[in-house]
Amino acid sequence: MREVLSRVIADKAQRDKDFLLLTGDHGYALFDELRSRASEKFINVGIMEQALISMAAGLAKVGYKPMCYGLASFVPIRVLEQIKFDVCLGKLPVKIIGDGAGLVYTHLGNSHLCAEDISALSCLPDIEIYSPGDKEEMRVCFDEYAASDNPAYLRVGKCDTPNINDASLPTSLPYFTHKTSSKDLFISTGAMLGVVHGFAKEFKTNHLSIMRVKPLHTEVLKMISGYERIFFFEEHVKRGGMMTALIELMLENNLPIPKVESFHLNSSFIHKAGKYQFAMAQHGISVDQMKARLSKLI
Amino acid sequence: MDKKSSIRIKENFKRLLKLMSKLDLSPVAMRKNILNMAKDMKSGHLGCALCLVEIISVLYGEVMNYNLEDPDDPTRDILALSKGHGVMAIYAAFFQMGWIKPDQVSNYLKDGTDLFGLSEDIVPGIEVSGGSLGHGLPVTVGMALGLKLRNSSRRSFCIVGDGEINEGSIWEAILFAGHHQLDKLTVIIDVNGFQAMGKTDEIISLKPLDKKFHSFGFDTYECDGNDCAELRKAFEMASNSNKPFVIIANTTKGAGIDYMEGDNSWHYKKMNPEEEVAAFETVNKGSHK
Repeated sequence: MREVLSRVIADKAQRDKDFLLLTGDHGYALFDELRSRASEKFINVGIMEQALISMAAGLAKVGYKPMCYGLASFVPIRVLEQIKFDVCLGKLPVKIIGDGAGLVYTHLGNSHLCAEDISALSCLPDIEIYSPGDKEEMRVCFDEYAASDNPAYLRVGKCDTPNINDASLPTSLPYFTHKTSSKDLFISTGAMLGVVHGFAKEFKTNHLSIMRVKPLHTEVLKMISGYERIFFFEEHVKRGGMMTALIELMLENNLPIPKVESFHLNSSFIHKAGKYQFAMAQHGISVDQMKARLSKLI
Repeated sequence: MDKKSSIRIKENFKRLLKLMSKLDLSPVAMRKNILNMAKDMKSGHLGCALCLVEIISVLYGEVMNYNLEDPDDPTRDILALSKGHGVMAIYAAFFQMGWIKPDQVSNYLKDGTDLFGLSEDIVPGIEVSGGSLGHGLPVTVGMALGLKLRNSSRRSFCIVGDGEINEGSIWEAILFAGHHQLDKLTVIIDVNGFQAMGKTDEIISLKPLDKKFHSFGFDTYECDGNDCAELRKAFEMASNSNKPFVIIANTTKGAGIDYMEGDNSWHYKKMNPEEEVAAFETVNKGSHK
């Protein structure tokens, strides 16, 4: 997924004279291609996330299309007010990439973990949120995210996950990766895509992937109707994530809420070092834990 | 360019010069506007605005390139008020320039009106939203960077409060502007010696400001920020500098209204009717340099 991101950023830089990529001294290898193909479009502002976002707003005010890169625990979390006040208030087309969202940087500890970015940004006016889960989802999300006239956030979670899509996706509309006659529906966003697709096949259920979390495509309401149980999977806290956004949309449309099972990060820190799955286990959503729970439920 | 277009541009320029020559951006006129906005218990933040009057007067009256008929003219210079609390000084100039109408002054901050009590860029002519401290300068630095990347001759000015530079984001922007030698950026620090809760020297001492900015790659000049002649000289020096420039403008909070000068309660306070009368009397005497 990172190779795709690296390529589409370089493509965008070559295609668009107004494009600039700003980083706060993160993402070295990710920008090798950009730096070799369009080095003049790459600016490392230094380790200053607040100024990174505010300066991007200033660049947008004089006609540039800036894209800001950072680790999700810092961009957007550390700079939430800059995004709110400098970017969203003026509805400026500043693009933000939050890399390593979720528990990707488990080995580094709590400073670099980010379980609340969707929730924090969801409250801000006008910002779009994209959460791709494999290479093709990244491609289609990036195209829409970069072309949007609104502020937009690209959530980049764990990238070494299975690739699900061989064929092109036409848009960021939700889509089924697996369909059966089961009355159970799995819905995932972002890095959970491959794992949940595998669960859907194993448990002979349906799986819907949601890439654009804000605003949700309203077509999703039709797609999820008629199911008796919905299982939500996201590497994010429950409050303010994809699940609550979708339930809110159902409530706004006076639709009945089916029985819900959720597989989310807890609103808590990790207390022991270890690898990614070990950290996920501390939140109760390692692959083994989710599988065991699904076995009891289905 | 064809002959017709050339004649049209010259005619427009002459018309604008005529309009500009009628402008009264004198500190007396601007202070009266501030009082008219604030009176009838409509607004506080008088101290924060009054100290900026000469700076804004010289900028819009003599220094900046802008189009009186189009606040969004793409060739204009940029002025950002990072310390948004002084926005009435900008509105006071905008009123003289015709960008704000009399009813916007008399109805200031009333329900359903367009002007907020801190600077927001939804108002034509306000370049950067500045109510939240520490934002305006980094946004302006981004604009100055973009203009420099395009080899533009447009200049960027940003007024920052001396209390505001407690904010870390301000120093991020200064570090960046110095490193990238944004030579068409002029930062004006309004050193009125106070912040919301007291004296800047007692809360977070900033001295020596000139040495701090020098060390970040800026040219600096310190002057009386309520003296138009000194400010003219400062902006001239900024214009001739090949580095980012900071004007350390020593001002008096509440300048021009004798009983408000140096009294930090006018950061918040609104005038009662007696105080209004006294304020207008002081301004009418006209004591600006």
